[in-house]
Amino acid sequence: MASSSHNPAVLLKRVLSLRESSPFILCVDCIERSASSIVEEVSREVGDSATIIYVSYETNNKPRYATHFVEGTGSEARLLDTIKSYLPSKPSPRKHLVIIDTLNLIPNNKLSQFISSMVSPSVVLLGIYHKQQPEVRPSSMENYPSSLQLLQFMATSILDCQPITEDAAAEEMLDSKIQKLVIPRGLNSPVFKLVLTNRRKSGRALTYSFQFDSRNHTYNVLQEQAENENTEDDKEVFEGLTTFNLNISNRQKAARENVALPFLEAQSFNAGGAIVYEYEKDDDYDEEDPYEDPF
Amino acid sequence: MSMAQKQDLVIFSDHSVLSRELFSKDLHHVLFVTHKLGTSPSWLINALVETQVLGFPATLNESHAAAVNRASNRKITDSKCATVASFIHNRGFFTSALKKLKVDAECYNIIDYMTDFVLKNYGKPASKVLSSLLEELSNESATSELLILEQPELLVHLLNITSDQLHLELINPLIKKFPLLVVVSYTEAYENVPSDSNEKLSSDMIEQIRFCNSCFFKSAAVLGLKPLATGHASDVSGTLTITRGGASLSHLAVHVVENEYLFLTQKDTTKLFYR
Repeated sequence: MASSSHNPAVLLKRVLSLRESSPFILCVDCIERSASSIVEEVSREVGDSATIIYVSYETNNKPRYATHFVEGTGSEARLLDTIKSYLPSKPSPRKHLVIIDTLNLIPNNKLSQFISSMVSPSVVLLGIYHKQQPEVRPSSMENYPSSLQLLQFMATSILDCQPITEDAAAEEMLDSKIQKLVIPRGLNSPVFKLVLTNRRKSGRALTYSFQFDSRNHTYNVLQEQAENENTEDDKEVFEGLTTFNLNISNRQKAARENVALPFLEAQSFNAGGAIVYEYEKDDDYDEEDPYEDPF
Repeated sequence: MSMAQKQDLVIFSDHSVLSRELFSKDLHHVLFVTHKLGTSPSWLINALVETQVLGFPATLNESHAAAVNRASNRKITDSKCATVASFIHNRGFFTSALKKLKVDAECYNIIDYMTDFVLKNYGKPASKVLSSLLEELSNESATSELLILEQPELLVHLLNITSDQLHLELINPLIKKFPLLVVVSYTEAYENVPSDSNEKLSSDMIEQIRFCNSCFFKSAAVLGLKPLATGHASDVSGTLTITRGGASLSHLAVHVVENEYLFLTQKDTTKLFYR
């Protein structure tokens, strides 16, 4: 895991080809750049190694790569039954990929149940969410998280598709146009920005930005610029707070990222958990004393 | 502007307006036409009907006289007809315009959902109204390959339904019935969206935005009509922007040619110019 974190491109390839352990991949898209290219890229990377079930609310054209095509319905229970009929009842060595072309039509209060009842060790869910779709919030659910927040919380990997803009001013101008549904030329182009957020088992998220070219199937990391910006931000935050030096160097930061958290090992036990105790040289262990046994 | 050269309307990379690739067997596509206050899409709807009937938008891409002459001499092609179903214009509005363009009345059908739609359906449950609409429109697929739906989003407010219900019970089944569905929507509501947060949107506006955004993600191309930002001009009526939609066209040999035109509508004719 540590090795993949050093190479974002490898991590992205692993996520796209389903080799990374990520049962729910959320693909967030927008009018400026729809997720259709990502779905095609995943299907290309997966190839024949998985059974692909395509659940569609937005098209009637069965994609070439789809093994099964399911039309979306208003009843989630019925849809779930149909999807499950194509999924293995027992854990199977062959991966099953369920692609849902929009999760926006699943009601907010049924979303978590819908997702959790589908995902299993041999099933990967790739769901697309259009982030600009507003949703009606009944007053009883005002304090409940929005669908996007829920999905981002549940997802193990998040792929955010964004257009490439020259600078912040251009981005702001584009936003104001899109808000009025005035769609300028040059959007939804084959080259776009892809932000990958991958969650480790510990819950720690790694975020990388890529320039994704769907024609050549290449992805170049845009991370450096963001990293520099973050470092500057951090420095500014700690500036003038105390007389102590709260900043860390890049070397220290890299070392911190490589520390394996202790509870990761506990997760590798199959059931129940266990005490992990490592003897140190000064430990005085008496085999005959029953109260000495740390286990 | 009079010195500027008139341009032909092209949407797809095979220099066509409605590429024959779109009508390939077992494939279904959507085009999305958006318009705002002051830019009526009637000329564009007529041009699409004309394209379906004649193979190209004669009045846009030729001089009016030449187009009328060509239309009256043309032989009926093998392609099926076009159907226009409108919630804001009556039958006469389209028939008189298409008659002036000499488009054979047998080659298109107009369904008027403006004149007495509310009277006919008052008090009926929404799902029943939607299923009867679907049945009536589906019958057209026997003779038409192209269905143009003008402002179906009004059904959200007329029937008090959600945009999701409208998409699931009417738009999606219609996409399945017709090789090409053109949804024409009025997007002026977007001009009134508060810029700070979605929380403040009224439920009506949310439904309106959800409907149009969903149409965008279903469509292969978006034809956006809007007035000039600088206001009214005597030699320009507005701009037509052709952009890619949210749906992928990678399964076809053609792609959308993005373009922006200025258009000028005078009396019965519309001319396009490159921006």
